[in-house]
Amino acid sequence: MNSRTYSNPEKAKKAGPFPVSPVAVAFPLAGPQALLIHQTLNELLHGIRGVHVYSQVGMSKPELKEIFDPLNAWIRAQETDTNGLPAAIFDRPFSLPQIRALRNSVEVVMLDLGQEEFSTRTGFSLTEATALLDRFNSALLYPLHIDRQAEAVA
Amino acid sequence: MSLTGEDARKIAHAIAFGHAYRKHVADANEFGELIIQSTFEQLVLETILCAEKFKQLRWNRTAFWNATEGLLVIYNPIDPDLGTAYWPSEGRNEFENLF
Repeated sequence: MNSRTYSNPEKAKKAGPFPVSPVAVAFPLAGPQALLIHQTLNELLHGIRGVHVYSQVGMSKPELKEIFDPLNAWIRAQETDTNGLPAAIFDRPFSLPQIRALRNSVEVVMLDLGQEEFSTRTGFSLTEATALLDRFNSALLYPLHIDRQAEAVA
Repeated sequence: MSLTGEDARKIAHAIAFGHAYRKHVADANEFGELIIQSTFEQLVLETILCAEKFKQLRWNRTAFWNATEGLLVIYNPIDPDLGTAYWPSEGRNEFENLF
């Protein structure tokens, strides 16, 4: 599990530029995953038509923009590797509703763009997006303490 | 980006006769009225040749922004349709934030 709860809410608030609830968890994103989320939010906020963002994602467009804007500034400030991917880690806390909304955003964009367009418009494969979805799901289901190995044996 | 006129015509044809027409013109009606595929092809070609802005993206993709038509074309050499063309909800912002 790579998420941790901040014991001190004030510390959590200071750690990131966008509004987070006192119950914030660390959810460090490797450069490629940060860029994938950036591209996903770009599609949701500026590209795809016909999506009912609040009902499908669980957050309004202005709330998603509060996540997108600082992420966008961070992406543009990064040095990139030979594949054009940010080399650094985006290490800011997220609230659980934000993590849930980001997870839903990725899924909605994957389903809307589909096999035909996802790679062309985001620059990432659906497999890479699925790996990110898995990571979000693990973080969201962490309270259940599911031991997949043990359950597979049983 | 150095595309010849012949390259541009080939790309425009592949995109207009690929999935983009069905998805963005016929189904979603993003243009606002139904246009035939040859008209769509002409719009894509104009966008590639006379884009207000264009930029290189990751994986050898190229984005072309046609502000007059609100049309965004992405050329992707490894895509079977050679890319896509669509009318984003906020086209300029969509273009500026593509990487």
